[in-house]
Amino acid sequence: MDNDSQCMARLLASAVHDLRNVLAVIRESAGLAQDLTALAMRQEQAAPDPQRLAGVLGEAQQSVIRGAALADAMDYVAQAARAEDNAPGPCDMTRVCRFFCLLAARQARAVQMRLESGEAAEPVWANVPPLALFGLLLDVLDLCASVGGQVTLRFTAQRHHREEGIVVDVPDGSNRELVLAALAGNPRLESLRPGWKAALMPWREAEPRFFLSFSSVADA
Amino acid sequence: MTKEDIKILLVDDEKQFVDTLAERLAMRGFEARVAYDGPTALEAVTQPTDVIVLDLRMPGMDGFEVLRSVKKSNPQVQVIILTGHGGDAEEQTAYRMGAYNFLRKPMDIDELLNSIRMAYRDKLENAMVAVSLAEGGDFEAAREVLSEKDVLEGHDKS
Repeated sequence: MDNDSQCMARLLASAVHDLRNVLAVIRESAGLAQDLTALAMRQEQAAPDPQRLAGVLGEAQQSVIRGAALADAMDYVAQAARAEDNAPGPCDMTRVCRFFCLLAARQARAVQMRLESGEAAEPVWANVPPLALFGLLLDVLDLCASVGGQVTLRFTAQRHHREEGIVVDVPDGSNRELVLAALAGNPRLESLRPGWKAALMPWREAEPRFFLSFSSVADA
Repeated sequence: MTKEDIKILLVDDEKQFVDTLAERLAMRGFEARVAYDGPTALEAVTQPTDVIVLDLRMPGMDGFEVLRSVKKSNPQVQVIILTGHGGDAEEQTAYRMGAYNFLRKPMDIDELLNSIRMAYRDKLENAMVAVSLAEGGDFEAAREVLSEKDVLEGHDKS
């Protein structure tokens, strides 16, 4: 299996697992609303406790929103895979970061990691295949998981010295120092396809951060 | 036997899901305790427990680790896997490790209740078989029925 297919398989498996949980919450919330209504009827009340019912339906609504966001992210992956039959067009890296955090959330949670996508100050577009970007972010996640996880990992699309990339930082977590050391250890990022190269460079400003940049070998 | 006799433990890191499920079970007369992670579940099993409904993918200690540990320390406890991450390989592994049933989310609550009832009935039957074997003097066989030794040994070999 090539890198792109492997990356898609992992992200979709993680997202489908989350989607099943979302559906389970919706099913149980709707079931509880039914149960409360049936109970009220048995007790000859006009309606179930409105506050309780509103709470239950609110939970179902929240889950629908979470499910819709997951569906958007999965659709994006599917479209990216189709588009890459042709030349990759410009890609909105803020969206890539946001969708990656959604798709990989379950996988990250298994190693007690939380993923966040940061807000970019301006739109960041780059001529890079989105699937290759997803693969790189998975590499970063795997690297952090390999030293124990248990941190929050934030990805923010950014332009730095006319170069588009993704800022990686670790705002908190009990294992933060170890994860920062692993990121600083000049890790090899292996998910890029032939013809592309990537680098994860320390970028020290207010706190230790890293800048993930990538470019086509032809541009070098 | 009344419905309330079954001591159920629900284990899932999806708090909203497991709390709602516990509430729905309670409305049907089944009191269930909940645990949101593996270590808490193992602590809860030190209290009398008949049936565990267990998620597989959880942060820290996953469901397989919990299953293995429960089957070692309390082999008579029945474990039903309820997961959103259910491939054929996971299902086979779970059965090999002694799970009673393997259900996928989202499931119908009546299907789950049915499985809980059957698991509990099997547990009682095992206990009765063990008692009659012990009364007949076959203590080794009685111990094997209670410990489901064959299942565990089968797994260890694989």
